[in-house]
Amino acid sequence: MDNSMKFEFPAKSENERFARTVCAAFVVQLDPTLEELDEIKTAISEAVTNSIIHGYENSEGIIEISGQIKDNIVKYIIKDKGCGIDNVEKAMEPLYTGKPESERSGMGFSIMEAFMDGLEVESAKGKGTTVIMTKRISNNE
Amino acid sequence: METMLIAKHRMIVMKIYGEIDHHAAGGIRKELEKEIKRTGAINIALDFGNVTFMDSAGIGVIIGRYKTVRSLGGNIIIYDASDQVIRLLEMAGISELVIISNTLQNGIRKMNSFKI
Ligand SMILES: Nc1ncnc2c1ncn2[C@@H]1O[C@H](COP(=O)(O)OP(=O)(O)O)[C@@H](O)[C@H]1O
Ligand SMILES: [Mg+2]
Repeated sequence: MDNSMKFEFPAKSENERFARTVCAAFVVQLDPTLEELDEIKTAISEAVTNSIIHGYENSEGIIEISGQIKDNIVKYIIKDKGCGIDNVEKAMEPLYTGKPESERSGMGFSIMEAFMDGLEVESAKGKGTTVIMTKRISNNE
Repeated sequence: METMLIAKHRMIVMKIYGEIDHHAAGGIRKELEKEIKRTGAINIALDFGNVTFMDSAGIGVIIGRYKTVRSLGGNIIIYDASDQVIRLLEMAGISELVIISNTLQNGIRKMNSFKI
């Protein structure tokens, strides 16, 4: 199996559902379990929401998502051109949030890490953020 | 979502439909805070039977309302949640703060047993 996709959309909260649904639909060709689909939807939702509220701070911007499938591994790349992250290591610590006043739990990166097999974050202040996640689909045949 | 009041238990029951993400979270938060102020209820029960998806935005809303009801001396009950939701609640440590049950009745029973 070898496939790819790419789409982009404005950073509006209405699009969170759209983005995770498209990402879940893309991986269906690998015949994932319902649990794997839920994990992917949740991880994508976390990354996209972060781009909207932290990257673009709820103002205008474009989020780009691309996906690749190679054998039974799916890879998603979520990219924003927002404010970027000063200290990625600190941002990824469990329960850390840059916005404690707005009921953020600080669990986004922990969820991405727990639900996917690979997580990489490339970011720098003012340079935007790219989140790369991979997951091996069990292929229950 | 639909809300109703069980006056006897000073409890707001909210039935939530669909997916709880950042987009939906604000509306749920506002409605619950409004109903608590309006009715004087101190407990919240959330019917998760029709919730098909939740991410960390839902965790934020629950923790926020937990703080509200604790300050009033009340509790939160979450009932009829899917495995996906329960797994997330456990990951976030919320399962230790709120009452998780299969039905509203069992949740209320557990809540009342705390108070004795
Ligand atoms: N795309 C992004 N752009 C800018 N900052 C980000 C981005 N993603 C995450 N962050 C930073 O990392 C922190 C931790 O993210 P996360 O674990 O999802 O927790 P939360 O979203 O609840 O704050 C955020 O509060 C924010 O400061
Ligand atoms: Mg987040």
